[in-house]
Order: sequence, then C-alpha cells, then structure tokens
Amino acid sequence: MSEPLLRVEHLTTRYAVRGGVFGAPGGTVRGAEDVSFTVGRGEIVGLVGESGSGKSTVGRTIARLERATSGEVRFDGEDVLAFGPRALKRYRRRVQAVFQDPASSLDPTMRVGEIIAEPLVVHGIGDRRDRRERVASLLAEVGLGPDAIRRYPRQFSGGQRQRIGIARALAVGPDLIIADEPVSALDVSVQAQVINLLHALRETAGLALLFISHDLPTVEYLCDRVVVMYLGRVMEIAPAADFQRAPLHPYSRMLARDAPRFGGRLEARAEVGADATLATGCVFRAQCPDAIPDCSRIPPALEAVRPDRLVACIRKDLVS
Amino acid sequence: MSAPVVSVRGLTAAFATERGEASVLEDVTFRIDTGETVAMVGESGSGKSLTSLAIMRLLPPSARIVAGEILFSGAGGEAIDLARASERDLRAIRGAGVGMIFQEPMSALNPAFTIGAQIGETVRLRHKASRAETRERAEALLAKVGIADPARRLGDYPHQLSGGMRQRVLIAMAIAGRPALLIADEPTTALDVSTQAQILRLLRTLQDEAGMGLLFVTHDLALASMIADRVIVMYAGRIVETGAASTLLASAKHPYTRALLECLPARHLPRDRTHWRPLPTISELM
Repeated sequence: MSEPLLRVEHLTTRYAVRGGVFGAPGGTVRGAEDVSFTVGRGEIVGLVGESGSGKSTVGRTIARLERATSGEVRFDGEDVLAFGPRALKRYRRRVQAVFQDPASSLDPTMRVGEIIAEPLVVHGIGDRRDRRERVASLLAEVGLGPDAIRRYPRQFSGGQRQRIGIARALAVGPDLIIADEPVSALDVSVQAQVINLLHALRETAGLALLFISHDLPTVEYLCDRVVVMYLGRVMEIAPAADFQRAPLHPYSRMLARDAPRFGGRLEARAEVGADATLATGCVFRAQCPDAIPDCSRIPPALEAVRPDRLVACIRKDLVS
Repeated sequence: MSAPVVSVRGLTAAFATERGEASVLEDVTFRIDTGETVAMVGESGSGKSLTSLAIMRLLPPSARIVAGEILFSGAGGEAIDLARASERDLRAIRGAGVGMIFQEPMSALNPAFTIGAQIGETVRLRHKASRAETRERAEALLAKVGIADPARRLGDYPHQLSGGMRQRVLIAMAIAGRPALLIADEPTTALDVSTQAQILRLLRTLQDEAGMGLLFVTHDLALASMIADRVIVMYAGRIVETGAASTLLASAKHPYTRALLECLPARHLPRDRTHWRPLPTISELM
C-alpha cells in the first residue's frame, strides 16, 4: 500500500494546567493522547468532537504550532516533529492552516493583495509580476473579484474574509490544508459557498483537507472519513457515509443523537458530567450508557472492527 | 386559549446614521403565550437580536423605537407597553418580569467576583434578604439549574467554570426573579452539541415548572424546529414567515425560508462519495 500523505501515530500533546483557587489540583493534563490516523492524498478527513476533545490541539500540533509530547507525525514519509528551521519552512509550503475567525488572522492594516502575496514573498516564489498574477487568479478561484486586491479586510463580510484566508493558504500551492472550524462563524447561506469551495479545491487541485469541526452534518456532507475524538482520545474512525448511517462507538452515537436535526426531539436523559481525571480505563465511561465494570480497568485500544472502521471500545458485542 | 405574555405589534426601529435614520426593524408583529416557546431565526443582520433587545428596551444608544407597541403582561397585572415604559418601570420588569440570557456567558459575568456574589446581587435586587437568606437562595438557584455541589460552587470565579456551567449560572440569575418571559439569544451557540442538549433540556424543565414564555433566538433552523412551538423567520428587519415548528421543513412557504433550508448540508448528505453534489447557495435559490 502506498504511504498516505499524512500519518499521525500515537501523537500525544499535553499542556500543564494550573490548579485554580478552589479548583482541581494542579498538574492536570489536557490535549491529545495517543492519537493515530491518516490523511490520504486528495482526501478530506473530518476531525470531530466537543470542546476539550483535543481536535484543535491535534491540528495545531500537525501544523507545528504546538509542541508534541510524544508520538510521530509523518508527512510524505518525513518526520515532521524532527524538522529543523529549513525543513519546517519547506513543510509550510506544503501544509497550510485556516482558522475559524478570519478577522483575527488577517492583518487589518494590510491590503488583501498584500495579505495573499505575503506567503509568496516569504517563500521567495516568483517576481512582483508573477505574484500579482498569482494573487488575481487566487482571488478568482475563491470567487472574489480583482478589485479586492486594493481593499482592506474590514471592507469584506465574514464569508469573504474566510475566502481571503483560504486564498492566502492556497497561494503557496499546498498539498494539505488544516482547516479549524472554517465555517462555524459564518451564516448558513455563506457556509454553503465556503464548503463548496473546499470541495472544489480537492476536485481540481487534488488538495487534501483535515477539516476540524464540531458540526456533524457538515462533516458528514463534506468529508470522506470521520475521526471522532473525546477528551483527547480517538473514539472511532469511519467512512463518513457509514458513520452517518450507523455510528458505532457509544460516544459517536451520543454525538449523533445530540446534533440538532429536523424531526428530532429533545430526549430526556440522566446527566453525568465528563470526568477528565479518569486515569485508567475508558475516558468516556462516566457518561457512557453501555459501560461495564471492566471499562474502569481496561483502556480501550483503537481496533479495526471492519477493514475501514476502527473503534476504541471494549464492548465488542455493541460495536462490531 | 392561553394568554399572551408578550404581544409585539408593528414594532419599527431605526438607527441614526449620517444620512438620516436607517430602518432596522419594520413592522414586526408576533405574540408569545404563557408556556410557549417561539424560536426567532435568521442570519446576521436579520434583526432577530435587535427584536429581543427592543423588548428589553436595551437597544444600542444610536437606535430607537420609531413605532409600534410591546404589550407585556406580567404576573396577574395589567399589560404595560414596554415601548413607552419609564426607565423605572423597565428596571422592575427586567429580571422580575423578563429575564434574558446571551450567547457568551463570560461577557455577562464579572470575572472579578465569585458566582455567589453575582447571584447574591441578583437575589437582593428582587427582595430584601439577609446574608444567610441570600446565600441560601443562591444555592437553591444553582441546584435548580443542575449545578452539582452548589454550596462549593458559590465560591468559584467565572473562569473556573466550563462554558456550559457558566450558561447555567446565567440562567440561574435570569430566573431569580421568576420572570414570565425568558429571552434567550443564541444561548447554546458557543457550546458543543452535548452541552447544548443539556442546556436545552434544562430550559424546557424550567419552562414546564414555571409556565414561562420563551423567546429563543437562533440561526440554527434544525434546532429551532426541535425546541419551539412556533418559528418566526426574519430577513432584513422583517418577519417573512411564521409557522408551526413541527412542519417548518415540509410547509415553509416564503422563498427565503425555503432557500435557507435548502442550503443546509444536513439536507444533502451524499449516499456515498460519488453522489456528492455542491450545496445550492442562497443567490442561486432566490
């Protein structure tokens, strides 16, 4: 089998959390724990989970914006976490990140043309004229007119700013874009445009995408595969279409049940808070309706229940 | 038939600009009955948040109510027109008559004071109470909104709580005065789906107990269809459609409502990857 574009293996990124005045004891850790998954060339992989699930931490660690505690990130077979400054600069030509809030990631004092050309300048790509042409074609690609070049970010709507951010990410011709909640802050009607754009980029440019989101319908719609995280750990990996029909892990099922949908109802349910302090066993067991005594003892390994489907749950009777 | 808690008629509001007044709400008319949940949906700039602010008479200083009335019927008393009420009457009604919660609880809580101090202040605004009574009441309110170990939580600062917990604290403060109407403006937008579901269940329970009317402002049509009795769709400062929540998807009539529904990814989930089609966009649909 050919090597995937991105291979994340047993990645752990921990942050030290200081104890509060009356709060939890210090030294608690959050982030990503033992995360493994792949992104193929031209593949769109969704990373879903609630806040605190570690999905953004994983994205930031892959982008080398966060320091990994242990594990591996392989891009085209190369060891990303071992990159020195020069290799890292080369890597950043091939892997770009797009974030939720386009307003905070675009310099308000720069014109849109300069913003999009900046990565080209940093990487020494083309001369002034080449860059001007490249910027114009990028703007066209994301559906903005050439007059945008001379304007400032504040003169654009949220959806347009997100498309400017995507144009900038595309400028250096990356193979992979890590997009962290790129449509969450946008209106429904604008979301559709950005989602269509991301999909079109894969079709035309063979771009791979790691799409980080808490919005299950959008992930199911856009992505080839879904990686579900909870409290730093991967719970399930599945083809999006299969996941949509039948999520297997008890947490995936809860996520699918809680996502608002037409014809849905608010179900009464006993409420148990998440417990980030569970040191042994399964991190989801406090909230899991299917937990058995062994769940507090045995850490569930992420195992294939079908060739293309992995689940981290010891209740094999339920998840296969 | 139930009695209306609030009846908004012909509400029109405008912002002062350099070139005269720009209308932001046009002839907005709707009512909310006792125990009823009305969801107000729309995109940014549609006027859904301005409508809720107008009911609380909390419009930004540059905006004013140009026409219309907001008849509010509190507990037993006769209706008062909030559009014309004095600042003194409004102060009494905010909290005791109408409670409000917002999207980002962190900005509504003071980071420098404990939860107990902030709930206590709300409690004392309503009734004269001793320190012990205030504390007891604050504890009871926290317990009511599902916060475990409330006595200990009173000593916490806002930053020590999760987003869901902070929203619960805000709900506790909003219901402290036993309001007849609760206005919730995107109260779960900043929360993940599981926490969102918990907060929605809490709101439903509180509403069932107290018979509050609930105005739930949201951009999420699917969410609105799940929790509301009726849905009001706003566009460019006007109500374009009102209908039963349960039939919203099937029976939406206005082209804008239909377009909004049509561009949701949930409506176009591909059977497999080869069946993927681009989402329709609003400009194509209208």
